[in-house]
Amino acid sequence: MTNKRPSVVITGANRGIGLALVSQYLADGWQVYGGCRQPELATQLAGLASNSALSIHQLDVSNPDSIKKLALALSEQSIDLLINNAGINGGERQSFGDIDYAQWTRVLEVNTLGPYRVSTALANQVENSEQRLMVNVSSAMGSIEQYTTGGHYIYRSSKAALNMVTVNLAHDLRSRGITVLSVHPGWVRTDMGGASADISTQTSAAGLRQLISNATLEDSGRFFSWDGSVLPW
Amino acid sequence: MPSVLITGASRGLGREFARQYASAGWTVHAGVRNLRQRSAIKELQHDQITCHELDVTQHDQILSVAAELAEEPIDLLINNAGFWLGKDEHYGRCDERQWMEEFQVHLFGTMAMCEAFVDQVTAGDRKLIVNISSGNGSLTLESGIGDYPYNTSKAALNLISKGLAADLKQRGITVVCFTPGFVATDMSGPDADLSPHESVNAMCAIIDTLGPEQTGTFLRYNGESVPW
Repeated sequence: MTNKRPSVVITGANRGIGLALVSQYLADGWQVYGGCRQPELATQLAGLASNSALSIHQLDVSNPDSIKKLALALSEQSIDLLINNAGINGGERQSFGDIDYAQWTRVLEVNTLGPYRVSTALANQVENSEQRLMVNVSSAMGSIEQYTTGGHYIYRSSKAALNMVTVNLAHDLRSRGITVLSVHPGWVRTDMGGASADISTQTSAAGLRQLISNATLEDSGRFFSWDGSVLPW
Repeated sequence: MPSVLITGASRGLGREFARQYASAGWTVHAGVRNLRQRSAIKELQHDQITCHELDVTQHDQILSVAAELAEEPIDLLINNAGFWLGKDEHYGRCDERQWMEEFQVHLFGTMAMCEAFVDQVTAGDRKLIVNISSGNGSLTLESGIGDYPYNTSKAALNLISKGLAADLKQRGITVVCFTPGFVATDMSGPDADLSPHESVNAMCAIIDTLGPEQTGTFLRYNGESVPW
């Protein structure tokens, strides 16, 4: 055993659930690599950087070149845990008869292809770690089973498609000992979830950390809520 | 007689749907990407079939066909147009531009067709929308493991079908997804389990029985329920 600290890559680290995860993993003694689109504007994230265990990286998950740069910067590191957290909502025009197809393209680029790109780019570093975990931050809104209302097509379809990325990655990376999960962070008070949501970012992050720490290869390819319960597809 | 509008009708399952509904006496509107491709159109020559140039990624084409058929009730809309890239869909090999094209055809194309033709379907007697999905779109990965673009776009198609079922319920429209089985078409090759005739014949028999109780379901070609 080495006493090297475990390491985590978190995308979308500048706000919301990503920021809460960064602060909690730092507090827990992890090495944290935080990715965000515009580090120069990420003042709250920068505020945590007095902790030398945080390193901030420019990362746009819709841009393959940006991901290549991150993978290159981390090429010699082992990464115990990758959290694909970066995601966007898709705006107002998501209802039947008023769909914004350009936004739909953009949301799939970020929410669905983004996690695939980052996971494939960092798979070697994750494989070379002790814990070998990948977590895709999905949403219960991506559950087809639970979708009974209509509307919100853009965001919901991007998360159902992300869940499909999770089950395929789980299958393809199993032989390398990598566990891949989809998680629902809860209805969280963030810019996306709004002020009246159920739980704080800190509560969500604590729940997610707990379920991630309990995950084994047996769980790979499954869809968990932040409280550890299993969600239907 | 009832009428049906079918996308991707120049080959495979789409062509078979067109032929079988035409033989049964339905009025068939066949959407094909390229009307000048004579080999494709030749197979659709039938008194009951009208071909329309309809590439589901071209929303202006969708709107112009919808305008052309503005006064015509459509009993059944079959969103069938689709494609698969084979081994270039596997881990580490996905072409991202083509991945987005699959979303454009399977997902955006289906939604755009539903948006454009909802009034005609509402005006039809049967009020049916059938989306041709795939077992590869089931998150249980019962088939087709590892085809990221195809699997993700079909899972997303299944999700929007469930939403469309809810949104269009008030209009009396039934929306169902089918997996057609492993059918010998240009897409899946000759080693398949079923001929297009067998698969489509079975689906037409099920479609005949569909009503509001089935809306929002995912069915195998023979009518069995498929898990999401």
